[in-house]
Amino acid sequence: MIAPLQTLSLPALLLMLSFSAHAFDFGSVLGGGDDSGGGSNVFDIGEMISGVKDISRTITGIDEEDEIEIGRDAAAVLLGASKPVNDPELQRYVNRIGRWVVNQTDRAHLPWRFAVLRSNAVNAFATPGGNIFITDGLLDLLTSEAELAAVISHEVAHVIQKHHIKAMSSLNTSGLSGVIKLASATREGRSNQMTTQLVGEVKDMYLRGLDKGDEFEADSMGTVIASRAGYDPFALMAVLQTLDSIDPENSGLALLYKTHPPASDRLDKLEPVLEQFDEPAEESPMLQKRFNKYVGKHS
Amino acid sequence: MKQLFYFALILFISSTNALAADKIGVISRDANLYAKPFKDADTIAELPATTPIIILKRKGGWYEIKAAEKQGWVRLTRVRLNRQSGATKESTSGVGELLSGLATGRGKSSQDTTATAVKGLSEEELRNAEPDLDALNALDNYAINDDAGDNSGLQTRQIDYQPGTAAKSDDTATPAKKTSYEEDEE
Repeated sequence: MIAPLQTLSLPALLLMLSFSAHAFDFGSVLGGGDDSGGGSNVFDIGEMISGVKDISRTITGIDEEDEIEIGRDAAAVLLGASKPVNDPELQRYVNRIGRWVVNQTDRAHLPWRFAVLRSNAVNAFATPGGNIFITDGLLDLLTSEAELAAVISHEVAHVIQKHHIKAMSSLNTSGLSGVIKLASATREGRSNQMTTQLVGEVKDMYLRGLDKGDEFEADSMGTVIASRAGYDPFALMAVLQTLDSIDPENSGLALLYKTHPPASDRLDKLEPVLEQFDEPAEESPMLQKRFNKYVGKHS
Repeated sequence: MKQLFYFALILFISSTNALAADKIGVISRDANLYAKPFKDADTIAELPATTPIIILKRKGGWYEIKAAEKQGWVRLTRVRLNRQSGATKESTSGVGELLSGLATGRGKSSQDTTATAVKGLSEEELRNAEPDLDALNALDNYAINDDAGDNSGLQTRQIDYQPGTAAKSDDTATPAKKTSYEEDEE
């Protein structure tokens, strides 16, 4: 079932998708993919093709079940380093925003989970298969729901493009097949423990970070995803400007800057992406109200 | 006398924009100062790079600013916020006050944050982490699996990942084995 798919032709890719064992949500490939957004479910062949192109460009030849499995292992490791904040309303709130955001992508069918983690470091993490974590420390810097959605969308873009699988493959001596083998071994021995090797490689990946180009791509795609969801396209840029204004020697930023390009470089790369956006639609005051309610009271 | 009037005016304006009144920055590239947050609005002034500014508020892709004794709007992309030092500003406006919570916990202010130890997801904690599957399974309690429910009027839009994404990722598609911020690893 697992084939090296790096350079699949478009017809082969479509064939593969149509025979995929997973319930591939064709509707969501058509853009929007959500019924509650109002008026966005127009059949758009252009968007479909560009969606397929996105997949073929970055596909790493991994079965989605393996991807999800590795993601669960990676998430368990991150949760070993920090626990979710004990605030059910806040956690529910970030899941609501996250779900709304991922429904605008062609991978809405993944088992997405979002959580705020107790940490005064400024950072956010994603795992393959759709686990997304944002630290308390980063949440503290955000001023609006649009900014929160922008951070989430950046992480969602990593998942959609399988950037972590790519990074792990380049760390594993056997490449992708080595990573997949580890995932299978872990799945079979789930009742016992994760393999020490997989745990080690996951940690290594988070300590080294993703490819620099993939971070820029996630900024750019994340901006588009958040905008599709109706949020202010400039919110991610505002977050990066905030990060840029913090002393990079601040210990709360240590791991972030070890694993990400400097905020100023990210701002430079993001600028041209924003040229395409006109002014955002006026956001309802409800957004700020509920952001204040769920994020503001949390401390 | 006139100066006093302007001083009073600025004070008045500042007080009505308390939320962001203490954000300061500079113009990063030569920029027009517009009367309104639209590209075809009247140009009030041309601001050269490095002009110091005071940011009053953000509206989409625009900051309302005061600069060179004038007030108007500049594109977000032409502004860089000034770097804060370790000590943070006094929190006055509650939610999301810039930097006040950094490394100290929300709402606590005026501490030298660089001296505060990172707790949770530091490099060391990540290195020593024992996988926690129970915590992972507990996330199911908060998951929303289909409809996000009330979206407070957010309107979805159809926007392609182009341009930008594809072009950019092609530029950088080759995974760099070593990048500058990885170098101290190992």
